[in-house]
Amino acid sequence: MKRALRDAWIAAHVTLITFMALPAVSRPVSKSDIWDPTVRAEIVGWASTLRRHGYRPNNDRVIEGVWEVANLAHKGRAVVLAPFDPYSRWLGTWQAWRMFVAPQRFPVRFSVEVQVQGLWRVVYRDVGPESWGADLLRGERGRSLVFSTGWTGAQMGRERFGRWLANEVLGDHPEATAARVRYQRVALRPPADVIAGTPERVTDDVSVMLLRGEAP
Amino acid sequence: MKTWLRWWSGDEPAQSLALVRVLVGLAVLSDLATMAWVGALGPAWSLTTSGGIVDATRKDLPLVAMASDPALLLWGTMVASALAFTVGWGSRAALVVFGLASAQSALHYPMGDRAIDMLLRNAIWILAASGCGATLSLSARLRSGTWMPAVEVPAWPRRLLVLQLVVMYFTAGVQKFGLLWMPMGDFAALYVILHDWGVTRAIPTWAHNPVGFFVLQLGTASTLIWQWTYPVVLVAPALARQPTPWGRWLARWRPERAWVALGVVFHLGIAATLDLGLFPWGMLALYPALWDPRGQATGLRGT
Repeated sequence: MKRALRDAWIAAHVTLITFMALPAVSRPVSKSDIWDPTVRAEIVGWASTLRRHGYRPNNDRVIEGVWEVANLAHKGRAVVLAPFDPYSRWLGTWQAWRMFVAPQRFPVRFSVEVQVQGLWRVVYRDVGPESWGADLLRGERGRSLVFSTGWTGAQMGRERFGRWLANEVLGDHPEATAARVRYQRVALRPPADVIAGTPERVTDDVSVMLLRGEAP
Repeated sequence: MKTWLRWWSGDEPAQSLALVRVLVGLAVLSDLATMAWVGALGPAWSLTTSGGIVDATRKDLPLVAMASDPALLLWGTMVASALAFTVGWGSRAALVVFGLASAQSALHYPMGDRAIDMLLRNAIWILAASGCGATLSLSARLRSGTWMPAVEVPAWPRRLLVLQLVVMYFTAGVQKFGLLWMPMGDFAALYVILHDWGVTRAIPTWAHNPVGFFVLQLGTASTLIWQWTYPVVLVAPALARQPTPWGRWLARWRPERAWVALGVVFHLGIAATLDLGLFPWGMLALYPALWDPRGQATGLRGT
């Protein structure tokens, strides 16, 4: 009996981990996810590859199609996995191996600023000498927080993390009247541009601000 | 069906699983220590009401009802249980407690739940169901008077760990469908990743010339091929048992060892160039599972 139970558990677990590991999006895809510059660059890149092979896809239709297929796949997967949901939820046995699926062509440059007498002053910059909170922000945990909240569609996470961080920086800078965390997205330069010294181009600039006295 | 059942039956010495237990424990302990040291506890697991970023109004987090600041409770539970299973004192119970606490931490802040947290949690459950505490443990010392008694334990948990690794590497490979991993994208993935300040240790100025870029292109293609073909680690030892010329060749040369060795190089390379925290060390902590303690081969061969 014990052996039969063990074999049944192994069979169910192996089936579950294999099915969960099949390629799929991790959550419903919003339009803002699709319009993230890295995602868009991927889709446009694949569309032009198809064009080179004689197909004539329209970029917007391809984007719309990818959005529909991704959400359909997510829904189908959710239906199949629903009976296992309590098991995977309480034991945390997910299988999301989407690692560096499509490298970030538009990485975020992250900075923290305080406002003193009406002027903004940078106190932390990921690439620079300003190092307030560097222990956290330059560490892997901090970087992954910045990375995950830097996505175009991650407004809620960005707002929470940004306000928490702004509150922390205001605590350390009593002279400041406001603080903001800033996500500047830049277009990564190809090797030739780096060698030629072409400066980085900022494609997007989003910040979260907190005034002194405001709840974080 | 018979082959399937044979794969999951049989006993073997406990050293491989015990070594995985100790190394996983050391890896997570160092990660938890770093987390506290850099002050990441607050943003990762504290509630908005205690100065953190986890939504305090959520109803699906049992620890929220138990503690006003669950971050410290979670962290303390994980440290205590990791310490216990690392030294091998009540390993099974400690692994279960750690697994549950780790799953709670993932529910608290899903965006902070890294791939390595997920993988180690999966390994923790398999270890909890195994006899990994039978040797290299305080319990063994107290029970038998020696730290390393020669004990045999069921082999299936180690084989399940190998399968887990294969599933992880293979599906991570097939999901790398970004253009930059492909010839159409000039195999520029590693170049781009090493320039992403979110993960890189230092901008690779050495790659800003044709030779350096070519080295990274080679690295990109090798990574992809290695991950796509990682099931060799399972398949080659299984085929090596067949009484055919091909089986004899596989038994003699054991090509799966090359994939395992490449894995070590891959993770050490990652540790040197990218700041992925626990990832390379957590992965390497699972590698003793690829060692058949009977010394026959890696993977599922020793049945």
